[in-house]
Amino acid sequence: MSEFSSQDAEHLQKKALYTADDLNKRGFKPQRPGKFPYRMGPYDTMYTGRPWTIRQYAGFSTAEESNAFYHDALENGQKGLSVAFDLATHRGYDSDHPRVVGDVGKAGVAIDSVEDMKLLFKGIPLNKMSVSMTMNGAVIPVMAAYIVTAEEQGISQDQLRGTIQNDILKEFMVRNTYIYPPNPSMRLVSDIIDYTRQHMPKFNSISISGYHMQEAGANEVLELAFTIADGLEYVGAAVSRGLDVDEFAPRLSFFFGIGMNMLTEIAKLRAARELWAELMQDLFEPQNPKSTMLRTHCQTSGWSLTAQDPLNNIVRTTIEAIGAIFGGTQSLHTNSYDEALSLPTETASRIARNTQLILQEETDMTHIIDPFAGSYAIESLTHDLYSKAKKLVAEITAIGGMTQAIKNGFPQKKIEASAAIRQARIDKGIETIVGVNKYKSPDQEPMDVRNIDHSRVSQSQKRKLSLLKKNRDNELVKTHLSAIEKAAKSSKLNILSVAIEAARARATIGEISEALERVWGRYNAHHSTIKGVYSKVYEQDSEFKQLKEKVLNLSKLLGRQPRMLIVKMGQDGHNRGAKIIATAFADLGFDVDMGSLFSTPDEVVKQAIENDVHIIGISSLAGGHKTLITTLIEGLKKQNVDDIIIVAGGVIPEQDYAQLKSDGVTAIFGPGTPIIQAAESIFEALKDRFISS
Amino acid sequence: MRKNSVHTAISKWINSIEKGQIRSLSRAITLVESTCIEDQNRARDLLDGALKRLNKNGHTPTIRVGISGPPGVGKSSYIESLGMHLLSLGFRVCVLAVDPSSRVSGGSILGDKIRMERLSTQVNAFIRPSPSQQVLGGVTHATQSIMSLCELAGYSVILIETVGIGQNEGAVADMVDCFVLLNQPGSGDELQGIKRGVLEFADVLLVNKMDGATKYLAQQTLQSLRSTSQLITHSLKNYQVPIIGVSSVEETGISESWQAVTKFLEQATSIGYYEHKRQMQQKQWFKKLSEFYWLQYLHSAKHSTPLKNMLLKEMQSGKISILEAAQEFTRSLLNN
Repeated sequence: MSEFSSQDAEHLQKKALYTADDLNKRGFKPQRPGKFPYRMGPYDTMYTGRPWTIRQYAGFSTAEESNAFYHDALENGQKGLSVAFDLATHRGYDSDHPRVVGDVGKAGVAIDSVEDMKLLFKGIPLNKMSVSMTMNGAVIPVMAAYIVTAEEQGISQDQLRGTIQNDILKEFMVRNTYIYPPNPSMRLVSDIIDYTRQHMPKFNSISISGYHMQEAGANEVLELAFTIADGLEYVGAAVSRGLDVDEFAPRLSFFFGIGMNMLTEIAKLRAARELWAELMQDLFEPQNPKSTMLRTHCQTSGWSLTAQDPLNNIVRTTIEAIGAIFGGTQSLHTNSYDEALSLPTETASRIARNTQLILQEETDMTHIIDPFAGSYAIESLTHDLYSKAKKLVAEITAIGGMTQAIKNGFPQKKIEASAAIRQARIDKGIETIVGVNKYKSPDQEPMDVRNIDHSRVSQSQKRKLSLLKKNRDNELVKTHLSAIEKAAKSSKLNILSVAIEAARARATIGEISEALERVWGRYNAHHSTIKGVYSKVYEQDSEFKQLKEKVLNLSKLLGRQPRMLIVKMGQDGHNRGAKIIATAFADLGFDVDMGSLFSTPDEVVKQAIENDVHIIGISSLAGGHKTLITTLIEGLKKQNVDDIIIVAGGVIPEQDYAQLKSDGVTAIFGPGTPIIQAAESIFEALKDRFISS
Repeated sequence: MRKNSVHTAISKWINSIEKGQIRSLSRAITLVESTCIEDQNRARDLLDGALKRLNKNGHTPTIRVGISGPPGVGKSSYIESLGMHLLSLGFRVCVLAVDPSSRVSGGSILGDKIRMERLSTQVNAFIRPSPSQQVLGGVTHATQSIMSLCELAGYSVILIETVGIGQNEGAVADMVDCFVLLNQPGSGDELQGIKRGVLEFADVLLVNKMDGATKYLAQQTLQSLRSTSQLITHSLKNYQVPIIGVSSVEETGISESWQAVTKFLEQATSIGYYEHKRQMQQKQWFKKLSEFYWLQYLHSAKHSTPLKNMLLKEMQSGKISILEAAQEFTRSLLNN
């Protein structure tokens, strides 16, 4: 059968037919749900007892507006909350900080203090509602504000239920919303694990996340292996601090992404449970069976959503949701169909939520536990994923654990290569994406998208901040902030305990973050970028070769390679797109300057001038494009620079195209634009501007 | 035809570089690096003017420091720390970073600046990464000229970062006042073998990564380097090459390393070695530049194509040997 085997980008060999032989070869042994090593599920009754929790990740604009949105969702069938913070909050900046001009309230809700947090949860009793918070960088002040909010609602902290993401390793690996260097960051993770162990027994102290790896381009094997390796690193850190593994391991939770390879995704979740259980048992020998039990949240893939024909995304999300459910997830977020364009509208959010309600209440999917158990194909895939991931985990252990592996750039490089190969396969049409590289719909009307009135949010936050600072005891705040600094310097005090005091006295998120920054500094990871991966897929492609030839000829006329600066501005750290563009353009013969993450428009102007580039390419995914690009262009004009070509790509709604173009942006590339096409159009723009015919 | 966007008269251009206009400097660097013949002519005029201006005005000479080491040793991070230190001492700092470019496609990813994040945003720092074209020594053929332009723009220290893969160091050492070599923790054992060739260029030796997990290893390396330091000979008489441990992460040893550079320069100047070195460098550079232009001429000599093709044909059909063909080709170009 080998000629029918499909070798996909996952490096996971899949065959066209699996038989009983495959199970025998792999030494398949049946298992029971709720029993070690939990391949069939962590609980013995699974969805027949209680279905998965519908937990939609949401947050935007101000706390007041997000609060209204939460109330509406909860009245309409949602069971748990999941808070999306804006990037300013993630990176530990208050809304009035000069570095976050384009980010406030954009990709999440702006939270500056306990006062905002109280508004966010107004009318939502925190002892009854399980709250998940995606927070990693500014994890200390946000947890502190959450605990004080509950306290002022009259709820003691031991009653709090929910999850804090608190997974800093994957931030260094892919998502980049860290603040401090790796070692002190790891200490904060442990401080939170230790604090919740003592004071918040119902709260998940961490959500070990593979989701963002998949979004950054990791295939299923990489996502699985690196997530498990991250988990082991956290357990190791807590144990080496003297904690008993059974005291905290039952409160560790996981978070996986679910993409379009439904069968592989089902196998991935099953393999994850088995791998985690066995490694935990072998390495840490817990006594409590719950310590080896992998419970997970899942989210459908945001990356698989397309800006073209966005209604197709409803179908994609449904398929991915089914994958997560058959894989046995404990809670699920389904994406809205318009998220490749901007933050979801009311309608899109409702359909996303209803997708889960329909699966839960109109189908028989919840009636049978792990219906794929015993399937020749799924059990074989589960086994193969398990063994491939196990091997990678062993490699990381050999390097000295995940913190060290990340410092060496090991997982980053693997993910980056996987992403570049995938992109090249899509651009080349080896992998189909309906409406993008095949079956394109001729006319498309622009969709209505949610627009955040950025200046209004910003002003409202600034007003609240100055009011807060006027009404509090500033001397008291100062004392608490210096106590935080002291705690950071010694290893004896738990920083979260100290920060709670500060939050109570109304120190802001930014102030608490800054106190820690004074001791540890603000970290910036050094990203290396790979080369030659993209072009490998294109080796024999005539279009690619021709363009390369054209670039070479242009270089001769220009006297150097065309030079492009690729930047991300604001606090958006998702750099998958930027990195793929960089490798692909370098492979085509461009000299590519990589800008630093989190740059301000002024910094970009300085770098563009110093490096004397022909083109600035801006990657924007978090909605800050209008403010930031306009400021950049003004900055260039101020320096009398008028001949640099500006192009932009990422999540930019079509409604904004006209204004950006009139501001001076030459071309805008929406999601799904094949890189060659983008390169062709940049090539033409270069010829136009620098070569006379 | 290329649209010529830079019409500025040479003297005006030089004026504005001297005034510290970043854009003028940066465009001048592009001009000097250009592979276009017309640009090279303009670049020559610009340089001529710049050098005259430099001589006339009696600029305080810039301190030129080469910084090299194997890939991954942390050159950029060290330069970031050193650069910040120099700014705090009141210097204006210019960093010329040379990145390797792929031979296949001619493009490159210039990522060094990302590793100099704080420094790159400072008003008194100018950082220019250049793709290393495939020329002598891995340092762009224009670096020497660019240094003069940066000097004219008022930068008081120029740091040149190069990837050390063995053959670059000589070229860099030939154009700087002081050559600093960064060592990886754990590289001590290899010291007496392959690294000898590189070591003889070093005026200051550093062991980086004296921090965290590598601290112990770095200390050992430092010790083993120091114990074999008598093996390291320096052409400056009675000069003992200092060996210093640094950490760019914890910013330790940074000011010591700069003191070592200034101490070397003082000693070198006092006995006239410095002047001698600059003369030698000019000679060396003249030679290399001539070779560069010669190669360029060789590749661009269109009139030679028919001859080349004919010789290739004869060679491939076995009429003449490769040696004969190559000699004949070169002879005919010389006679032209």
